[in-house]
Amino acid sequence: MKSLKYTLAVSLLAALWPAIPVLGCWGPWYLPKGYYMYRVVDNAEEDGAVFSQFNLNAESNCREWQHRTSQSIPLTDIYQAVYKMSLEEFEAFHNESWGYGGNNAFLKWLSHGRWDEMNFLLFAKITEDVRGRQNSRWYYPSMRTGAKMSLEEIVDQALNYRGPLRDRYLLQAVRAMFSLRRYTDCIALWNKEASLLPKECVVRQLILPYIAGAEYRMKNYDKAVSYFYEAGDFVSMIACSDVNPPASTVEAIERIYQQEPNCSHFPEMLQRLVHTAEPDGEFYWEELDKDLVKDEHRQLIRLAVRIAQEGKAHNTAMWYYTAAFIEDLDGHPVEASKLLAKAEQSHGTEFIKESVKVMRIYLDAKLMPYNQGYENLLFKQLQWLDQKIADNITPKVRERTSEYYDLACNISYYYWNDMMRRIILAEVCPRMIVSGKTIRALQLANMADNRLLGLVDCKTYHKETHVKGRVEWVETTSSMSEFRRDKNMWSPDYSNSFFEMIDSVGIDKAIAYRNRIERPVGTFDRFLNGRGYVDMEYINDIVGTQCLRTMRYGDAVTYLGHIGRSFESHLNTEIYWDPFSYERRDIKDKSDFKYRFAREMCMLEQEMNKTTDPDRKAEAMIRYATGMRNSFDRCWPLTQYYRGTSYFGQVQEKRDWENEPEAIRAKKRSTELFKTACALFTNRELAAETLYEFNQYRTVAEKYPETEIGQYVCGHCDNLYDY
Amino acid sequence: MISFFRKSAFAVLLTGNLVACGARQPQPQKVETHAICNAIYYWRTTFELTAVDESFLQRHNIKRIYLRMFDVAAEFNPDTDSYEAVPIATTRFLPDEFTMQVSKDIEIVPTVYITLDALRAMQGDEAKYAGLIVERLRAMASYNNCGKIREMQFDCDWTASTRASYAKVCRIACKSLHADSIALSTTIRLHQLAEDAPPVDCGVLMLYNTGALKNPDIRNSILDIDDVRPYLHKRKCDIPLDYAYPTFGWGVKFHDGKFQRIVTHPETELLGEGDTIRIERPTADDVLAVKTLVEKELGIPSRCNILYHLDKEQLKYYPDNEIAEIYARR
Repeated sequence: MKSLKYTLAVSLLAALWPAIPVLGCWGPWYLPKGYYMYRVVDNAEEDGAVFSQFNLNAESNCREWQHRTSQSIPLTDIYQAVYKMSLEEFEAFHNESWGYGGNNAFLKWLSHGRWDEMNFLLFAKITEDVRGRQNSRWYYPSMRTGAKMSLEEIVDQALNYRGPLRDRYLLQAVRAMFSLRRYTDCIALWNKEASLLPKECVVRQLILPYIAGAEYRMKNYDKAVSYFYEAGDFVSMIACSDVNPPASTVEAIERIYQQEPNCSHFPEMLQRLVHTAEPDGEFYWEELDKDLVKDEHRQLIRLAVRIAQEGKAHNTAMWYYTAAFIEDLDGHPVEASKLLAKAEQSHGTEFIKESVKVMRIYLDAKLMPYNQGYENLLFKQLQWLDQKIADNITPKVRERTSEYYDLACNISYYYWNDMMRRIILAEVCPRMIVSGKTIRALQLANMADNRLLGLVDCKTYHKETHVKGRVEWVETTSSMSEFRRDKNMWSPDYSNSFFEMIDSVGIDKAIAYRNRIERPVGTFDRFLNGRGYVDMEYINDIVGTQCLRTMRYGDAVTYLGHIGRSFESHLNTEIYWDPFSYERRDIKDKSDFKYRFAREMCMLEQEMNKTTDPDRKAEAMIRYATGMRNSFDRCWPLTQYYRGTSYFGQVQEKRDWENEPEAIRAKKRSTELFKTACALFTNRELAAETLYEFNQYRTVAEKYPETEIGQYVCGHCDNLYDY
Repeated sequence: MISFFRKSAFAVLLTGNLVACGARQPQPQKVETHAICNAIYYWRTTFELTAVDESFLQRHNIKRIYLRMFDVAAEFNPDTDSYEAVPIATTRFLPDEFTMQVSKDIEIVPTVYITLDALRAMQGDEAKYAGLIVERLRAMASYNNCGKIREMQFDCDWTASTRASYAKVCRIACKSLHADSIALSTTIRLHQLAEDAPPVDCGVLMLYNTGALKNPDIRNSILDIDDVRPYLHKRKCDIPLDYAYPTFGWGVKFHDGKFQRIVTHPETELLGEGDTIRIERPTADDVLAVKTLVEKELGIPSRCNILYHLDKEQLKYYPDNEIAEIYARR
């Protein structure tokens, strides 16, 4: 669902690109709370991702072709030929199949004189081509449009076929008749022939929706409902129940339950319905959707409990789990916990039991007191969840993780990791911080952000490459450590939840966390450190930068001093201006800029403290005040990680840096120092020069008129507006 | 006084303008219609020319076939909850190997039958449907190698209340066709003779189906000179007309005086108690009598006489000499 939303949003934005270019790389960012949690159906995409969850018929059809041809032919090749080749491409192949030299095993098989199959596929593609072109009943294939047949001809030809592919030709006939709105003919053909095909026959399943639709058009609603049911299309089934239609999906479930307590389609129906009540937190700057739980969902609680209690349904745990889930969504976690306990004690599939277990971890995080006992429990729970994450990574998960976007934006795509992130980031961490366990919260957040990245340890990206003087963006794959140190790319480590947390909990907590990383206490620490990104240069840089922010320059030298110069490629910031210049002036040496700044500030502090000469003291004070001020203004990379283009996600936008206490304090202190320094000067020429440098022309003219600078200012009063 | 004068003058001017608009209703630009020749309708859902058909065309020097391409009918669309005009019963053209080829010197006139219900469904959307009909006729003619098209024909049983709508469809279609030097003709039923002609280039007066099919008391619903006669004196329709005569027959089955159905082969039809069949097949004499009457009242056809329709099973009842007499231009 979220993926779909994301796709839609990105598509929409792509369409709007010329109008709002600023949003070109922009898509929804969900809150961690927005991960879908309710799970009674596995929506994970299959490895290899040939077929999506919405394309199960295509998969069955390809398997049927595989069965008909050869098991050694890959499904992907069949899918390409049957579903992806255009009519023109297939026609070209059909005309010159004997000379086929491609790699598609299915086409190769066809090219060996399989004319029945080849002719059928050509016929089917013509049918779809004509159906596609015939958006209007008025369509007629003319020489100009290049269509091959009329729908009427397709019907005739399909019905006249008497060979081994009869069932497939029937499907084409039904499709064409349906497009012609010959619904009665569709139904007659079904009754006479197609319905007699074996129930497990794929083609029969492919025909069924058309017959259901035809019955609906003929207002035979009962039959339509029955066919839609057989086809597993419950949305249509419910929608077309015009005769005494169920008032809601819940009522439909109840009716089906009366007939078939273990209907195989229940999970899909439930998941579809419950997802409508789950807040998705799109977008992060908005409030979470409220009041998503409607009366229908509450009806489902009652129904689910009743079904669970009646004992007719085998998967009792699923029904209790469903009731528990909605109770929690409706703001009753305690009630939810009681219902979940019943789910835990009831019979259920292994799949459901795992969903129940995840929900238990989640409810514990919400309900239990955050004491040592809970930490011990959480450790065990996370061990289990972590194992699930490690064990269930598919190529698709690997691919999406290496692209990183979905992970950064909290888009649901890998249940186990999604749940770990949701529980830790949305439930556990906030409560840990409130309970004073900030270090644990930081450890947990680090794991939540980095565990899957560490397991996959692969990043695909487009890297700027110079080829014969041209700049090309070449797709590159590298390990995470290589990617993090690629000076051309942004590091994701300043755009995640962990960074957001450590950058806002305060310098003392950050230092304490840093020390705990260096010296872990106990197995839980080691477990968490082992699953987070705990590169000490990264952590020291964060701590050192916070020291600069809090004007603790001595400490900054200590932490930043642990960082090698090569770490600069990891940063998402760089400096452009000289922090000690009042004027905007390029910095001569950009390297190691944080450390060198910290060191100079320390030296200035020492000089200010040690020197007895007032002029020297004042000069040091002025330079110190200038550096302090600039480190929050144009030289912000000394104290912050924001404002840069190399920043991704939602983290820093939440902060109002101009009004952060540290920024206000630093600016105030800087102003005070400047005033003090001006008062300290005994050398009037030096004082006037300094004031002039800082554009204090009026002061120069009023207090130091006799100095060289003072006379200059008085002689240029028209140009020096301050004066 | 002055005020009254001004108002009256304005009213006169206004009325004058309106009248002028009505009188000067723009007529489609005329295009040259086809040459004088014998013609025939082809009115089936599959176009399949047999050797017998081919021979018939040659023997009677028929140079034009009015070929029905499809019907336009009103159909309920559940998606829009309304009736809409849609093409139905599109003529299928058999592949070359299954049919004789139409001689290249025979002109095909793509023809479409528009039901009255369809015409009603088109009201308000005449421009759209005129375009769709013409485009589809063009596509069918092109796709099925019908040769150079010089004329298209609309067949519709329009009435006084639907005439305006039909006229709109014709006018728009005409404009489109004239751009390619294609003429538009229309069928004219006897009752339509008393109406203003639709804005087309020419017409074909249908001298068949002249009586009420379902009325058990009439002698022959296909052609009865007594049914024809009254209409010929009321002609208002002023476009050039050709004449179409019936060369077919059927049986009309009644049960206890109530219409049941048309019977294609009445000789083999089993009859129960209360069943009767009225055999209808105009003889050549019947046709010629009507022909004489029509030509006397309306003049000779502008270009041709047309037979309805090319069907060897029907035409076998009419010897060549009778056909030749029907075709003959005086």
